Amino acid sequence: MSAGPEGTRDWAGRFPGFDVLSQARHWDQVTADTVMARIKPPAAPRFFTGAEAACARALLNLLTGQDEPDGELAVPVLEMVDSRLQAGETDGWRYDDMPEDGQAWRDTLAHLDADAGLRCGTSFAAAPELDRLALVQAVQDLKSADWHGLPAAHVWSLWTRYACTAFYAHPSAWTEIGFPGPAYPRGYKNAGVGKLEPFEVRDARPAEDPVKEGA
Amino acid sequence: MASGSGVRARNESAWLLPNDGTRTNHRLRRDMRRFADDDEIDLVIVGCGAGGSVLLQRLARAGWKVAALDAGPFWDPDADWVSDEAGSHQLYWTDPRVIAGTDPVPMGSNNSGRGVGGSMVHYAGYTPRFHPSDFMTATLDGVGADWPLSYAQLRPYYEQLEQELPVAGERWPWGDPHGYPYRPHPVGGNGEIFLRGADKLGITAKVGPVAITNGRFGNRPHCIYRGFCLQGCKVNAKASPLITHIPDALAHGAEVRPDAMVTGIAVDERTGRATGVRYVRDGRERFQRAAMVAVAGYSIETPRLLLNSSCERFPDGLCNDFDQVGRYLMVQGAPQTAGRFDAEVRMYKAPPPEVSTEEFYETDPAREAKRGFSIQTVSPLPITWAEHVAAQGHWGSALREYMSDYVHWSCLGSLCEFLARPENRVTLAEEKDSYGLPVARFSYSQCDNDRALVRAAQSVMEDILHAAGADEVITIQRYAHLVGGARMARDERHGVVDSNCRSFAVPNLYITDGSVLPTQGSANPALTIMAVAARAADHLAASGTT
Repeated sequence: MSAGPEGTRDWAGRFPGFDVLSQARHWDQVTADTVMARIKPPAAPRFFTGAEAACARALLNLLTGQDEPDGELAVPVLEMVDSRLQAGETDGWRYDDMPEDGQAWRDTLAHLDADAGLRCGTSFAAAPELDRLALVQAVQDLKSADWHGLPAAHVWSLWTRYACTAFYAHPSAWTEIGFPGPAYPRGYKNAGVGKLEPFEVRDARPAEDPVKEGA
Repeated sequence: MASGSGVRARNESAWLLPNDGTRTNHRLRRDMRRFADDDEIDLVIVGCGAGGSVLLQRLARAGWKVAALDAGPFWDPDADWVSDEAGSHQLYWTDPRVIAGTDPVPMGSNNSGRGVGGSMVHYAGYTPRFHPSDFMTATLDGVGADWPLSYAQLRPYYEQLEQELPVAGERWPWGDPHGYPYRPHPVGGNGEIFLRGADKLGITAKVGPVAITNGRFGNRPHCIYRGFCLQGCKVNAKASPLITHIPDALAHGAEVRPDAMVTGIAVDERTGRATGVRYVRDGRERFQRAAMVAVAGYSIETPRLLLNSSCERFPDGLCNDFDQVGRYLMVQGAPQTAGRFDAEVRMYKAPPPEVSTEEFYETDPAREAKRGFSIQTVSPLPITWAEHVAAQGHWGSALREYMSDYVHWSCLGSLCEFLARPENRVTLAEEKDSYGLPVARFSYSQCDNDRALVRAAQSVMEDILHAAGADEVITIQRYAHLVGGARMARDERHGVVDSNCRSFAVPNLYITDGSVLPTQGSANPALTIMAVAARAADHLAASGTT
């Protein structure tokens, strides 16, 4: 199976007309407050320094497929990760060969900038897109080998865990994948293969199996 | 359908909850009995999860002066919980922990709860029993350890608790065959796929057993199938001690003291007996006197608390004269295999626990490994599903493209019985937490038997999904549950507590949580942890307060 960033960018539009937020009036208030806070304009980064924030933004947008120069940025992943780190909201564990999460983020962003400096003579954020892709791919390809004194696989785990948790917490991401989001107090009445609720939208391209395409 | 009236006479929790659409009996909490620190109560319990809550409820009913301290909040499902993955972060124990070994085990959302109700607030809701063989794996299979008690001794407690939770499911043909008090739930897309694939292969699969109300139970409503079981049940349909045992405990004079982090167990150096617990509440260190102490902090925090409670008599940690504390900690290998269907499965539209098979639970001479595995439906929500996709190596555009296919996937999970090994253990790290206490360092490494079971389980899951019509399958390697770390044994050279959960070293110190389990089987451990605690409670109630 292929791995890496290559994709066809045709994920949009599989669920025509579906919009998670159109159902927000059916959510309980506590959940609605939590979710709606994510679509407000994000606060400026507080945990990351200016240079770290620039590097982290470029990295996180790349990891979540939001790096198209003219693309619309749907999810403010950098700000979501920054506010988590500022609040010390870790996953509740760290590998014994990694620093705690906040320090691990600072260290690895500095290493990424250093790699970009060697390769392109720029910061990571200022490097051309193909170079940014290559720099990140290089870390993934190291697997458990050493990257600046850290096991690359554990660095990769840290980056992707924070990136995915932020991105798929956002209602725009749920709309993109056809997931209706919060379900209390309404629940579901039509569970079963092929069955839909009135507010769900059928996939317009059901045979578009990315695994088959990637094979 | 069970009436529940027999249950009500011995555990009224479900009838003490409100019936007006809200989920918490605030009056019961407001009127709760409150003990003073210098009041020598009969028993102080550390931790208010599966084990601690059952012990609290049973001994309150027996007339004991008993309080349970929990480091986390006294949850109100209406105000504190959300129907959202990322917003449920507070349900997990996320104080720092260090993981090590050749196969380090992630903690947090995977296996560690916080607050009253413990990990059962965010467990899936599967409540299978252990098999009789689990209690004697050394004798039967030459691996693991024999328990100092038998399945038959635990069976009455399984039966009691299945009524109290209550459990819904088909008649169970495996282990000690038995029925359940409530009929099985209807299945969603994921359960349908599992049943279809298993049927094609001649594998017996059954609906259940899940501790989710099917029909009304007391004032607990029917499940609404919203799929957010792992984020805390806002409906009061999925069982957790917060609603199954705590209300009855409060009604019988027990105290629950939330937001109270126990930092040490005090032992009288002269008598060698426990005298109470040190704890921090509102930033202030306090001491609760008690005639007896029960620790129920689960497999990481229980050993950590014992190790952090060293004193002159126990320089290497409380109850650790024979270097047993923290050892034999187990996790189950839990590979999850997903299959892709052109039809829409939408696996989020039902409780994640639906269907399981225990056909591969016992040692099979045809396999290269001892012991076995179970297979169950799991239905990851988008953030967890993204972990599956990222684990295949995808990121960027490829990640987004795979994720857009979410509604087409069905996901099964296996629980593989990894063997107990002395080197898999909790020790204290250099790093300190916000209370200034050394944090736990959990080292975990697999053995060949473990790896062989994972391979076998993955291959069966792939077969089931292919038989159901999947065109592609992907697998993610992960772990589930924790047990062991302060196991029960016949003597102090092989474990920390006896069959009644009493520590060998300190006569008035008990451990009543998952850490006492010597083996884990391929079953989700919640019901067994409750049953072991209920049995210890009977023993304590019979022997009387000190």
